[in-house]
Amino acid sequence: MSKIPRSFRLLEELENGEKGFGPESCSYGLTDADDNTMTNWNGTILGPPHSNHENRIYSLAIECGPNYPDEPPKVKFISKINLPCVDQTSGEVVAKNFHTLRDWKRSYTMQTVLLDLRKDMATATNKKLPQPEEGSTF
Amino acid sequence: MASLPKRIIKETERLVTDPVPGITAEPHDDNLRYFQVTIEGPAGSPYEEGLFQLELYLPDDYPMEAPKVRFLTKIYHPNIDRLGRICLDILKTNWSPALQIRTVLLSVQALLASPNPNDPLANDVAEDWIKNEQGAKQTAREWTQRYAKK
Amino acid sequence: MGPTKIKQKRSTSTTNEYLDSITTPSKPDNSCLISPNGKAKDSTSLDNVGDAQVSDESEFEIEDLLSSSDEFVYDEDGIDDDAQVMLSHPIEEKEQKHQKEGNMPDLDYTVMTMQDIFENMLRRVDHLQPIFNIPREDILLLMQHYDWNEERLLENWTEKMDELLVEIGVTQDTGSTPHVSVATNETTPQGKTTESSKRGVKFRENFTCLICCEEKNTETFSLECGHEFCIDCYRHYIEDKLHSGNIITCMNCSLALKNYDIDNVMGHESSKKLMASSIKSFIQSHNKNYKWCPYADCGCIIHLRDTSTLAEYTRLHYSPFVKCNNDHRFCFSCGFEVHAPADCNVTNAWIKKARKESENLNWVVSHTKECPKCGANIEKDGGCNHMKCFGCKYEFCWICDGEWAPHGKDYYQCVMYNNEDNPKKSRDANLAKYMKKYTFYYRIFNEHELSAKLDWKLGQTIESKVRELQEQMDISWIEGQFLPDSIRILNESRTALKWSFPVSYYSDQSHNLTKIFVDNQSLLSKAVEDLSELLQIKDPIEIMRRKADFYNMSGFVENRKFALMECGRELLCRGICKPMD
Repeated sequence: MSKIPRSFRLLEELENGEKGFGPESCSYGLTDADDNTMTNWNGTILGPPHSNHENRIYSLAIECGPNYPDEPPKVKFISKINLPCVDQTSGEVVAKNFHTLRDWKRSYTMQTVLLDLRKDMATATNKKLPQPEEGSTF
Repeated sequence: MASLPKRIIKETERLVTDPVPGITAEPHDDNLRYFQVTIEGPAGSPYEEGLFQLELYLPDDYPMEAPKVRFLTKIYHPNIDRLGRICLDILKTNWSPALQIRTVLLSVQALLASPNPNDPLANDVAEDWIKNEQGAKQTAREWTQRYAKK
Repeated sequence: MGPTKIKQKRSTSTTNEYLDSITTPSKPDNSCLISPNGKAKDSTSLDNVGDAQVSDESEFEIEDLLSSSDEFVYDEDGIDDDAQVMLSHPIEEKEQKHQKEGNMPDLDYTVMTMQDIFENMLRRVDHLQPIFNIPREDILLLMQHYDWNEERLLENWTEKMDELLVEIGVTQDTGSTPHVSVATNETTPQGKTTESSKRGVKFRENFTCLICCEEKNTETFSLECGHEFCIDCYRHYIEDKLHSGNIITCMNCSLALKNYDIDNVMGHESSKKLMASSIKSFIQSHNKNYKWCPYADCGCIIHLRDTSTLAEYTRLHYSPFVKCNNDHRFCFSCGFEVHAPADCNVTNAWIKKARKESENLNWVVSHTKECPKCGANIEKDGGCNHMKCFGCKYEFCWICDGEWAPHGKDYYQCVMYNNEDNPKKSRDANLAKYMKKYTFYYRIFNEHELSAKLDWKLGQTIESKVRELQEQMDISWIEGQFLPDSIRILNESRTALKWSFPVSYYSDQSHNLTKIFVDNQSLLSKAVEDLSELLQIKDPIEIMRRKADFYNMSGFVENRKFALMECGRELLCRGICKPMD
């Protein structure tokens, strides 16, 4: 397999996101449709059921740097959330505390990150964590 | 990385030994399927005097699958969108394995010379082009001056 | 007779599996295979219980012979009518008869296969040949290009014959130039001699293919245009295109490969794949009239000529159920399994909801549960919901965990959702009330789904049971048919019972008719469980002794089913049942 360059990879991800492939529980798109460097993205995660996140919609900011997808994106929650892997002052997902970013593979996509974060919210210990008021932001 | 198919090696060689006027294409050292491309705006078009940067990638299945091409330089054109994606039949349904990098880039150059607003990718630009061709061409010239200056 | 066996085994199925099983109908309905004399609508009579003696297979053979005869009727209206003439099957007539019983307009459909459609196309090509006076292969290309629309083809043919032949790549456009040759300075393909310009596969030494740029001793292929490339590249190229259904052209110009060229390069019958893809896209673009049988690995296509009748079905809350040659029954409108008494709206709303909730709920619906009394693990291995624990001998109802005794008497009480006193110990005690209601219905629905599957498995063994009767009791095959008939009725009734729960879920609970509907559900549930128990009997002597019970019970079940379906339809017609999210 040859290495698909960053831009064509991001265009593929963009098209998959626009066509609505993948599960309904997560979505993402370009923050600025004019940004042809395709660096800044926004994502949403629908809180998993049977957890304190149920029916909440979380907004995130994703930054795909110049070395994406060789390097993982920077991911930051905009909506306030109480999760062990999220820095409680900045909302940033701390890579060393979140396996998907820590053990990043080139085949991972933004969707992988969002879905894995959603899974993380639903783990036995995390689903019961008290959550800040809905609608508050970092 | 698997070894590069002979077809790609030959095409790359020929792009160097027998370059197409107004077009350059050089592979990146670390990815020989990934080309840095420049196209000069065709004379007589609103893109005249402009030098446009593009990128081109040959996917695994090339030449059975078309190359992927994108404008890096901002351009005001009804068949090229804000992210630089190009609407060109030979890059999609009309691709043939007998086509090659140079023919693709020549076709892109030809698209600059004759835009096709009836098969648009950038809808707002196409609308402008149909309603007010002179104004649209003026905008295209201004963008060329602003973003594609040699 | 006796309660279902209990095992110390654990197996689970998830809500998603369940979803798969309702969107692609699961096997239980295959049980019709045993007795192909299934009815389209229910019948109140007992007449059909013993009348499945004549194997439909023999009828099929005769019919098949008829349809494959060379007789060909051409009709101006095109394919639809031709297909109608050639492919009518006895099933259809039976189906129609029952539609009429329900005072419904005829559902005039035929069952076809890809092969049928393709052969039909070939006949049409034969028919066109004297008009066009060009080779059949070329007409096939024209038809393929026109998406098998003969009328449009004929129209354009008279207007611009020569243009058309260029457009589809039969003849070369002298004005156009082929693509610039690859990677060399030569502008003409290698070896463009008179000899090599012949169409076909050749062997060449030290051939440089302009596609892969490799030089080798190889087979090559070219059309009359002389654009010759190595066979490996051509194979790769054609393989990618066989699924598109479109005409495949030379890699370097617009000249078309004909089916024999494709077979020549790719090997025997590869062009059939291309034709199949083309016909698939034809079916896709005519999907109002053509529907694939949704059962896995079933290649049948139902062709409904006149879709105007469908509106009448919808208006009266009937569903246009059809049956394919493999006895798979499904709804022509929505493609799901037979879902009466629910109509398509209820069905779609229910399935949509199940899909949504499975995302939300994601609880595991288990094949196993613990005995409500002693806690031993219990697995269900028959459809019957009357359970008896091997350990403590406690008899209970699989659905509500309650004691069995009251179920056996008047009627099933566990079908009605009771707001105050939820019969299930809810696994999610803090779920909203509506969720509880849904969970309750979902669970019953799912239990009947599972029971239906188990009954279907039971049905698989029925032929050997009949044989056993023949051998041990010395009775005729015909006489033994009450067993498969009973199984079929059991399966159909369980399916109806299953789909009655979405109807009650969406019905106004306070309305009197809803209460009557629930009573009907109870009666059918009870009857179905009784019949299911009866079918657990293994001893041939006992089976024959109770033959009358089989007749009576299955007749009763059929009656109850019909009553439930009519009652459900009334709920829909009167707007008491309204599906919503």
